[in-house]
Parts: sequence; structure tokens; C-alpha cells
Amino acid sequence: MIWLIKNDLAEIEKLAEKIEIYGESQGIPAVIISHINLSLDELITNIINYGYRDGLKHQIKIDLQLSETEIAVELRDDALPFNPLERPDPDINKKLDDRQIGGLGIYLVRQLMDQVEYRRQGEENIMFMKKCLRTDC
Amino acid sequence: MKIQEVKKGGIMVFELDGRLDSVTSNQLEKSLMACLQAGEKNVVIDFSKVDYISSAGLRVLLMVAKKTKSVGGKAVLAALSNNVKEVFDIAGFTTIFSIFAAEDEALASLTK
Repeated sequence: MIWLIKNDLAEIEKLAEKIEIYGESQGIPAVIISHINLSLDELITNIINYGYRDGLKHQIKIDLQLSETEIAVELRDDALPFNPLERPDPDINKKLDDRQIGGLGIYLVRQLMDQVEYRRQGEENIMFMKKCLRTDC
Repeated sequence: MKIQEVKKGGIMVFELDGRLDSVTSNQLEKSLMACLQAGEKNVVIDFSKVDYISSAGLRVLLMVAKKTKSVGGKAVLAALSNNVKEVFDIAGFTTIFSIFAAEDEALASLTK
């Protein structure tokens, strides 16, 4: 299933609703859909907030492929080259005073997904993510 | 997101209703910061009607925790849904916040 959205933060909630409906129709556990939706939210928010400098409309493509063992999610955008995975993980064991504000979004994606990869292809950033539906995927 | 600000027993309580994401977190940030600037030291944030939080929401909470602490106060949270609790656990927020099952318990913890 493919969804196309505009580079507008308001699109993220609408996308999440559509993916929820799709997930339900395919019998995917709600908790897995919520992990996918939060991961997409984090990545798409970054793309929209920091990826464009031209003030123009852009399209972001979300491709969700379902198999018996896993859900593969591919996110494509034509924003500036940016690999979010290069960002170091925040230290979540630090005390309040030492905790840094920021960097948590990508960390959540890494924790919620079973596989996360980035590549730049031509003018596109491509994030590939996988979520297992079974323990043996 | 709907944010209801109510003063209960001298403490500001923020009752949130809706998604706490990159669209709505600015709204919460403004309300909380205005409250702290007005001299409040302690706040209770009630999450009973919040089923979704992203890192944009976490960011605001961390900021408020730091701000309240710097003036000798505290930001206390109440009634996290399972979804929100899970994100808190992953982000390590469960250990840096005081979290109570219900709003009245959160309030009681500040008035002791």
C-alpha cells in the first residue's frame, strides 16, 4: 500500500489514521501499527522541519509492504540529503540535569523498529524499516 | 489538543486532551512556560486523555522538568495511558519524572 503526503505537519496525523484503518483491515496488531506510526511521525517531522529550504510544496512517499512474517516500510523524500542514523543516541540513563533536550526522535525509531536503514539515491532520501510480526522473522 | 488549566489546592493542573505531537507540542510549551513565568513552581500534568506522544512532546516535558527544578519546584505527571507509558519507558523518562496513577495522587504528592 502506498500513500503520498505533502510536506505539511498536519498530514502526519491523517496518514496515521489511514495506516490504522489499513492495519486493522489486514489484522495487524494495534501495537505494531502504533510503533510504525510513531516512527513515521518522527522521521517525517524531521524531513518537513529541516529538509526543505525552497519554501515549495513537496511530496513524501510512504510504502508499506506486508508479508506473513514482517512489515516493510519505505519512506522516500526529495529533501536535502540527511541521514538521521548518523546522529548518536542520547544517554537515557542520565539524571534530569544532564539529560539533553533533543535527539530522542531517532532513538525512538531505532527502538521501535527491528531494522532501520538509510540510503541516498539520486535526489532522494530513502529510509527503509522493518517490523517483525513473528519472533522468527 | 485541548488544554485545560485548573488551579487545584493552589497547584496548577494541566489536563490534556488529544495527541501530543509536533503540531500540538508548541501549544503545550506556551501554556506551561506562561504558567512558570507567572511564578508557579509546581505543575501537575494529567495525561488521562492522551493516547499519543512523540519526541516533540517529550522535549516539552523535559524542558518543563528542568525549568521547575531550577526554581525549586517539580513537574509531576498523572494517568499515563499504556501507549504513552511505553514511550516514556523507552526514552528513560519513567526514571526522571514522578508519575502517579491519578491526578489527585499527583496533587497530594506536592502538598505534603
